[in-house]
Amino acid sequence: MHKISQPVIKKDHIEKMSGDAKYIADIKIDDILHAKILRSTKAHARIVEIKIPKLEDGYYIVDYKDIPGENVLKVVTSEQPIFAEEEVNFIGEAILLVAGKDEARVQEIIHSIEVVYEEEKAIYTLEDATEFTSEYGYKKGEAEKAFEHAAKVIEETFDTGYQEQAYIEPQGVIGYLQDNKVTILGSMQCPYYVKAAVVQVMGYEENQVQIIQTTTGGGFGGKEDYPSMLGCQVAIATAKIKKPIRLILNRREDMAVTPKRHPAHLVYRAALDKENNIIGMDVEIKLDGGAYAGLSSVVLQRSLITATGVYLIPNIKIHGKVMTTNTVPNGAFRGFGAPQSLFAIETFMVHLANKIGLTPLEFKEKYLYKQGDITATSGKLQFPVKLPEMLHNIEDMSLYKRKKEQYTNQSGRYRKGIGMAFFLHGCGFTGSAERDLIKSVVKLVKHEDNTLEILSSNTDIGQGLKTTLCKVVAEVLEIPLSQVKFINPDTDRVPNSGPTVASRSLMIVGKLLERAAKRLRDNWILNKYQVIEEHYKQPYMIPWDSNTFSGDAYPTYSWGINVVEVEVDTMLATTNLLGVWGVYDVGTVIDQTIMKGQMEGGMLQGLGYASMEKMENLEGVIRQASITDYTIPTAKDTIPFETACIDNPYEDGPFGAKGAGELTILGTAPAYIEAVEQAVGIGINCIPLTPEKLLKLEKGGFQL
Amino acid sequence: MVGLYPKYLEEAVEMKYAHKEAKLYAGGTDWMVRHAECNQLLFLNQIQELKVINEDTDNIYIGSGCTYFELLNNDLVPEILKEAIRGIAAPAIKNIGTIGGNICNASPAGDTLPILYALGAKVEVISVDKNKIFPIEDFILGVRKLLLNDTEILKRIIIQKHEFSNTYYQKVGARKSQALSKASFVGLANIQEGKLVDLRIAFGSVASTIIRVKQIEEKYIDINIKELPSHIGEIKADYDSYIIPIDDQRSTASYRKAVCMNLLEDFLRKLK
Repeated sequence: MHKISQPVIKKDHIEKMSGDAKYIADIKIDDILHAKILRSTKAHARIVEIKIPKLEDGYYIVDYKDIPGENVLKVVTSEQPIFAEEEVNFIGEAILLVAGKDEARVQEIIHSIEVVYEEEKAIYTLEDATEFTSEYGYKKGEAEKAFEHAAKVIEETFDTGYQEQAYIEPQGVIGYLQDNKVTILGSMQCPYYVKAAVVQVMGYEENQVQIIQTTTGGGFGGKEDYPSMLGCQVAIATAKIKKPIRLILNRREDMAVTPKRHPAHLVYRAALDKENNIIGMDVEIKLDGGAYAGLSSVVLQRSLITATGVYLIPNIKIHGKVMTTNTVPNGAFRGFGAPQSLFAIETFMVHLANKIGLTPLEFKEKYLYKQGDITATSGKLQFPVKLPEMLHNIEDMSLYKRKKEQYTNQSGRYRKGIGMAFFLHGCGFTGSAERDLIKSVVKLVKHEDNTLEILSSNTDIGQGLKTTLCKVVAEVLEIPLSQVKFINPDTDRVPNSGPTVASRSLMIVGKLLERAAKRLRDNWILNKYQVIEEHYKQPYMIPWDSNTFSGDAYPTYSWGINVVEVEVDTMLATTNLLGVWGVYDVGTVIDQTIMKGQMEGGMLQGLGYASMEKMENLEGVIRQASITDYTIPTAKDTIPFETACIDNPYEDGPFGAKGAGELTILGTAPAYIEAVEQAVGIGINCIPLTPEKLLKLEKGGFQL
Repeated sequence: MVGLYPKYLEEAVEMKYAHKEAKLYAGGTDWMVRHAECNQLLFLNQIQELKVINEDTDNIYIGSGCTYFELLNNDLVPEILKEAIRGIAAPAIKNIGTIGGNICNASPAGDTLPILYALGAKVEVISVDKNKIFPIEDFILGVRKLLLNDTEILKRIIIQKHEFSNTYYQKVGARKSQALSKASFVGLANIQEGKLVDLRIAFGSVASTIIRVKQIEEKYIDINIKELPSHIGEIKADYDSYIIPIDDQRSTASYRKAVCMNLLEDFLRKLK
C-alpha cells in the first residue's frame, strides 16, 4: 500500500457530523424573498395568454421580458429558454417566477395564475420520436465486410430506463445584488458553468457575476447543468427586484423537472465466423434526450465510445442519436452514457456465450483488452491492463466459477444465480477537450503563517475532494494535512480549474496541484506569502478527431470487475442479494476509506438501477416523483460488499491516481442481470428488472 | 394554525366537540407527508389513556395512541400483528407512528389492517356523550373514509384472544424497508383432529379496502385437511372476483393479483 492511501478523517467530517455545515437552505439573509416557478402543465403547447391576478405590494412576477441578455441556458450549446416565451416543450418547463416575502403566499399566487394553452402534438417515447438533436457514428476495420462474410449474425435489442440521482439535498440557489454585481450561492458541481450561463443571460461583464458553491449534499451529475438554470432565474429576479432571492426546489419538483439518466434503446448485432468467433459488431444507440439538447450530445459520445466495453473486436460500426421527446430534458448522471452501453454489451456477450455453448466467462476472456491493443476508436491502450490479475482476485473472493457450475437446472421456490461483469471508464473529458476547452488553472497559496490554501473551482459534493486534494499537496510537501485547506470555491477567488464531472477532478486537477506543490517545495521561503499557478498540459495521446471519432478517446482508463450472486423468490419474483464483489483499478488509491465509499455507493446505485429504481414517464409526467414511489435501495436491501483495489499507478495522475467515482456504478447492473437470468433460466434485455417485469417475462408465472 | 393539546381523553373529546373542524393528529407520519392544509390540529400524543395496552379474560385492548415500538415491546400484542409491524417503514417511523393512525389513515396499504381484519378486531370510538364499538370492517368505509363523525375519537382496538395453529403473513413491497406495500396477505387457521375449524384470510393493497370474505372462509370449515389440496383451485376461483387491484406508480394489477394468488396457494398448501 502507498503511504498516501492510508485513510484519514475527511476534511469536512466534523462540520458535517456536528450539523454546523451550512447547506443552501440553512443560509439566512434578512429581507430575502422566496421564489417559486410557474411551470408548464402541457407537454407541447403554444402559450396563448397568461392571466395574472393583481398582486399586492411586495410580490413580483419575473418572466422572459425581464431578461437583459439572451433568454437561453448555456450548456454545451444553448437551446432551452430560461423562461418560456410563446411555446412550451415539456411538462415542468419554466414559464415565470413569482417572488415575495411569504412563501405560502407565493405558492398561492402561482396557483392563481391561469395559463391558456393551445396544445400541439407531443412525442413521449423513444419509439415515437423522429427528431434528434445529435448524431454520431464511427468505424474500425471493415464491419460491413465482416457481416457479409459472417457464418451467423445474432441481433438483440436492449432497453434501459431513467435513473434519478436522488441526492440528499434538493437543488437550490440564493442570489443577491450588490453594486451592479450579482452573486449566486448554491448547491452545485460547477461554479464556472453557472457563471458562464449567468453572464450570457444577464449580458454582464465577467466581473459582474460571482458564484459561490455552498456545501453540497450530493450531486451524482445532477448538479452539473441544472444549477445554471436556477442561477439564471434568480439572477434575473434579483436584478429586477433588487432584493435577495431564494429559490429552493422541493423534492417532488426536483424529481419532476431536473435532468436524469437517459432512457436508451440499443440494438446490438454480432457477426460470428464458423468457429463462433466474433468478427464484427454493429451497434445502434438511441438516447431519449427529452425536450432540449443540454448535455445529451456529450452523453451520447460516451455511450458510443463505450459500446464494445472491454473487448477487442476487430471490425466495428457504431452509430447513435439523441432523440427529442416532449419530456423533461435528461443530463448527467454518474457514468454519463456508459451504464446503458455496458449493460447492453455485457448482457449481449452473456447471451452470445449461451447461444454458442460456452460459459460467459470463457467467451468474454477470449476478447479482453490487453496493453497495446487498439481501442474501439483506433486509439491505443498505452498503459498496463491488469484484467487477468483482477479476474484472479475476484474469482478468489467470489468463487464465481464454482457457483456458476453449481447453479444450473434449479427448481423450487428459491433459485440462485451468479453473474460477472467487466467494465472500463475513460477518465476525464473526451479527446483533447481538457486542452482545447477546459484549460484548467489552479493556484496553490502559501500564507505568511506557512499554511496552504488550494484555489480551485472544483467542488466537494460528498465524494471527498477536499480531503484528497489536500492529501496530495500535504504528501508532496511532507506537512501535516491540517496545514492545507480547501474551502468551497468562490469564482471571485479561485481560477477556473474546470467542472467537477467526468471523474476528472482528482486525476486532472490533483495532478496540477501535485506539480504546484513540487514547485513550492523547491522554492519554499519561510513566512512569506507565495502563490504558485499551474496550467493543464496534455499528456501524450494519439490525436482525437471528433469528426471521425478516432484516436485516444481518453488519456487513460480505469477498470473494474463485479460479481453479483442472488437468490430469486419465484413466488413473488423478488430477489435477495447473496454476495456482491468488486475489484477495481483506479491507479493509486488516494484514500482507502473514501474509495471504499465510492465502491460501495456506486455498486449499490448500480444495483438500484438494475432492479428497483423504476421511473416512468406517462404522457410527459414523471410518475414516481417522490422518494416514496421512486425506490432506491435502503440499508435493509443490501448486504456487506467485498471490495478490493489493485495497484496500477498512472504517471499522469497525482501519486498515480486515475478517475474513480463513475467507474464504480458501471458493473453491478449487468452482473445482477446475469445472475437473475441464471437463477430463472430466461433471457433479460431490459433494466430496471422489477418483479412486475420479471413475472411478465415468465408468462403465466413460475412453475414452483 | 392553532394547536390543541389535551392531556386527558375526556378533555380531548370536549375539545373535539367544541372544535369540530380540528383534525386529529397522532404520530403525524402520514399527515406530515401529505402537507394537508387545516387551521386546527388536535394533538393526541400526550394522552396517556390512549397508550394503555391491557386485557381481560376474553380480549386484548390496545390504545389507539400506542406507537409501533410500544406494540413491539408489549407481551400482550399478538405475534402476527408484531410481524406486520416489523415490516413497517423504518425505526424513526416506528418510534412515532401509531396503530390508531394506521387505522384512521384508512389506506388499503395500511400494514396493520389486514392483520386486524383477520383477527376480527373491533374499534371503540368515544365522544362526549357515548362510546361505540364496532367491527373494523364497518369502521373503514373506503380510501381515507371512516365511520367517525366530527365529535369522535378512536379510543382503542379490541382483539379477541384466540390461538391459531397456523399463521402466515407476507408483505410485498418495492424494497425491504420504507416501502408501501404493493400487496399483502395474511392467513390464519386452526386445525383440530385433521379438520379445518377456523380459517381467516385477508388481502391488503388489492382493492379500496382490505379484503376479507367470510362466506368463502365459512365454505371450507370442517373440511378434512387432507382434502384441502384438491380444493385449492376452487378457493382461488372464489377469491378471483374480490381481488381487483389497479395499475399505479408502485406496481401493476397483474403482478398484484398473481402474487396474491401465489401467497394464498402457498398458505393453503402449508396448512397442517
